[in-house]
Amino acid sequence: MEYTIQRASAALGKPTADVDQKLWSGADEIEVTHFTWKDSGHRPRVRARVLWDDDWLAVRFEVDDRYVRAVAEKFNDSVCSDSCVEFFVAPSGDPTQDAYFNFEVNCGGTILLHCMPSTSNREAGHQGQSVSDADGATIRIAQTLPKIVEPELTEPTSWAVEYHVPWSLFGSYFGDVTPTAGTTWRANFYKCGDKTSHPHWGSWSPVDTPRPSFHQPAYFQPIHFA
Amino acid sequence: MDYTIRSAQQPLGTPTADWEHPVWDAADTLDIALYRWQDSGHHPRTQARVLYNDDYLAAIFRVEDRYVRAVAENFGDPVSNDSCVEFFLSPYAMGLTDAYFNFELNCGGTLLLRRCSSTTERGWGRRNPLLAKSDASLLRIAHSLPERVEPEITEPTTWTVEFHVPFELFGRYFVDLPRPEAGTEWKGNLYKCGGDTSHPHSGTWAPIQLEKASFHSPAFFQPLHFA
Repeated sequence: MEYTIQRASAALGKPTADVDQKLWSGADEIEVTHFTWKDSGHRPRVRARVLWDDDWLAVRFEVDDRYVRAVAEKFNDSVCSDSCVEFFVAPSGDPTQDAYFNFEVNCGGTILLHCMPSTSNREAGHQGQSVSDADGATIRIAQTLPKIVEPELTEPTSWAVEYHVPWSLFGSYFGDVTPTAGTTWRANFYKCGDKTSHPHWGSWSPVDTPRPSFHQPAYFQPIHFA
Repeated sequence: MDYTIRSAQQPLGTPTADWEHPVWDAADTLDIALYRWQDSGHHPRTQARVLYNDDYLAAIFRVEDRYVRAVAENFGDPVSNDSCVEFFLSPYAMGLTDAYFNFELNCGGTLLLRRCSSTTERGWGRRNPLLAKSDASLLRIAHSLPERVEPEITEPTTWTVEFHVPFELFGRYFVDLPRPEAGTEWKGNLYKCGGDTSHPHSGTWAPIQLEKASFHSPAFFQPLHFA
């Protein structure tokens, strides 16, 4: 299991969350299909695409959902309780260098982003580190739904989010890791909604733990920059 | 794999550390029997029972042990190096919220208790603070052995510890937490260890599929159902 991040064929511009935008037709698509834990039975269709250029990493999620909710509204609030899509990425192809960013975004476009320590540093007692508000503001994001979705939308609802992350943000937390064609990193993609009426936990790469647990870099898969 | 925490059928009273006390007739018994990691080969038979009522959660451990030692004497000392039993308990059901209490008690009844951060809280940089002493003193603890066991008892020795923790204490450390009632699901795991005894060992109730012994693995907690 692996994924190739295609290079954007034109300027990425500002995110639009427009799933028909031509730029994105050049991107490979993954699907979050592993809903392996006991849940409410609601398993939305979740697809993701990633592109890159010299300045940005661009991520887009499309979700055919229902029971949709967003109440977290400030950067680094607990968005995983809402209708949420997540992209965890370690800027290294070496499975032992597994410090990572966890981009968690609710359907209202609110982001939570931490820099999580490598497994060896965690075992040595290191905590994670919140990305600062100022650094978080360097991410550009667009979404199709309003920022707050409350009460929950129980009808079938498709939504999308798109965000662009400057390489300088990776640089601030991991040192100079800006990729070139041929670089391999490791990642996983997720969907959750802990405090919606229908909780569910899905992943792209299956995570073999008995309880829902996304912070498992051992199950990240290679992503290659083309 | 799961465990049912039954409702006490008589007042819990003060703990006695008496495994045969009639109050425990209502409880299911579980075994801490999985020793997956390389160790000294000493795998003491360890059982536990848990009950609850409106105000308290009560747990008792019985260990058919040897190489028994207790030198940690003050709250928060590293009891896991002694002959030790542990109950890690997350007051949340399914989901990504996995903050928990780690009740660790050596055979002398000395307690270590931290409020361990959830994975998301760790991302915020939140550490795992030891409980305030005044809060930890809300636990009622009884133990069959003396507080200090040194030198080590190398003969076969069966010992028990029992503790009662008020649900109010959970409310002080976990936000938005309703008291459990019949049907509530929490999650957790139970352990036996003895890091600095002459025969170290690391046993678990629920399996932990990790190469290295690591009790702080909430992804491997299993359901605890209040009945």
